[in-house]
Amino acid sequence: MSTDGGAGAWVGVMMDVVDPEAAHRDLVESLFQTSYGELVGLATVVTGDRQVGEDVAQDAFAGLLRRGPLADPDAAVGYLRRAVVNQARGRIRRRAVADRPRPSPPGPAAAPVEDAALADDDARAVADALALLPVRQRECIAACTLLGLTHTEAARLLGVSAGAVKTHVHRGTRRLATLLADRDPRPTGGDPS
Amino acid sequence: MTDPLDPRWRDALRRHADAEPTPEAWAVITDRAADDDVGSDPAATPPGRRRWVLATAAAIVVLVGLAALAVTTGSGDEPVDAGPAADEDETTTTTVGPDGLPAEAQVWGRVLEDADHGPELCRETGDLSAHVGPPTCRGIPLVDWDWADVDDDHVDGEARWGEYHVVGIYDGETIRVTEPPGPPDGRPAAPLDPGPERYRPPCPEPPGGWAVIDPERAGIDDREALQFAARKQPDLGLVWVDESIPVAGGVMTVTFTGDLERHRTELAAVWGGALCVAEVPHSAAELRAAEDVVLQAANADTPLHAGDLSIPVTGVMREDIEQSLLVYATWAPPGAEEALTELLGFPVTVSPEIHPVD
Repeated sequence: MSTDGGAGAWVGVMMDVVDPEAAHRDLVESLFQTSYGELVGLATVVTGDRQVGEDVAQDAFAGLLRRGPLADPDAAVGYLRRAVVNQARGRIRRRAVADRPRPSPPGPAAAPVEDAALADDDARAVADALALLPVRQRECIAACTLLGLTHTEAARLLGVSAGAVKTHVHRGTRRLATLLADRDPRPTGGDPS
Repeated sequence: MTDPLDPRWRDALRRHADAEPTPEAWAVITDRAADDDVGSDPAATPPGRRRWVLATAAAIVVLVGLAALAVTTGSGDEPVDAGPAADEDETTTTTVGPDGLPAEAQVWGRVLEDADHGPELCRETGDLSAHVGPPTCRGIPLVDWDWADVDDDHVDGEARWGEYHVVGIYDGETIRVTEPPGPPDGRPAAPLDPGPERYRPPCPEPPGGWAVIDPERAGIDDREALQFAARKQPDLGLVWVDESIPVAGGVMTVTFTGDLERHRTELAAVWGGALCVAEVPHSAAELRAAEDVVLQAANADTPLHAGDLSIPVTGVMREDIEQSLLVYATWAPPGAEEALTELLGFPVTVSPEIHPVD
């Protein structure tokens, strides 16, 4: 950014008046509009919990905001996805190693989460079936099906081989299809449209 | 790739995971991003319009039993070939190497080898659900691991696993096994769970015991009103309930960093049930900011620098009631807890994955 004196100063000021912090915030807010949904989805599918999914996604955006401008702004989406995967795994890990009984919480926090998304019977069935899959399969399904990543891109995000992603997606979706077919009173196979 | 998932279920999956970028969610994000002033004076914290949203989020987190955040970095996901350090120095006998790294290390846990990777010490538990089949997990790659050295392993298809005590040379990325694995005895005790006693109200029991003051204002709606009122306060610590005490609605405890009489009066105006208002040294926002310091390092796969130490943190669990932090680390150099406590401004317990050999 050029703000030094001399003949070019005005040009520099006029052109480079952008505050990098403000630009970073604008970038994050823009990404929030475009990517918040998919990141919540990624975390929700991995953790199996919509509330946790939202919390994880919000933490990821907060972390990016706090971190400040990235050397490569184009890497911001990757940063967010990576943060979501890490935190989602952490939530799961923590649940696994320290599954403690807690007293019943009060008020609305105590009630079962009545997500609007889960009010949909099919969505609820999918959520129930996903809960029966291994975490790695859920991760790969979320990365490929929700985010639309290729196996190679998903492998980079999840830190596994592309072959493993392919295997997990295949096994996971096959298992999902079996589980959903078992519980579905309606025939499947047709495009709902 | 053949995808056997019907479009109907694919659409349902998307609906299940769909979320709108609401202004409320953005407000939570900006609040969390702003709360990075670790150890600041609570009185100096500006009572911003959105600050209570953060406190609300933190309170909800504990109330729904998600009191902790923890992350794994995932840095150990890909098997890493043993580096030169692991190949050359089999005679290392020091228990603590450069920078406090436990040159001779011991770990207790599950070792798993499957089609995706070679033998690894499970760091990240893959299976939480009732799925049928062998376990899946990733962790620290093991070099020179030989299943012939153990006899209590399990095999299912291409997966092979068991629970062991592993001793070897740790080079920062892999462990080169130097002794036959043993049973997982002698595992260091996990940090003590305070148990349900932690939810006891910190206030002395009133004469005659805990009681409802006004039954007309002690219902579920009133509890919500209490929570809503508490969350509007920037100095909120936490809201929780102890329902083990036999009084209708349980005993609600609300903690703040000060001005207790005002808070008690305001809360009693909306909640007619048993109420304990107590003081804590820090607000929920401050605790969360300290937690975020660890999370930032863990997410970036970088050590957390505390004093003269570099600590390879992998996650953190927030204890909202005790206002302390349990920090997960790959290993912990001597003095790590003291250095982190000093850095973060909250009592810290470190739970290392790898321990030096005594």
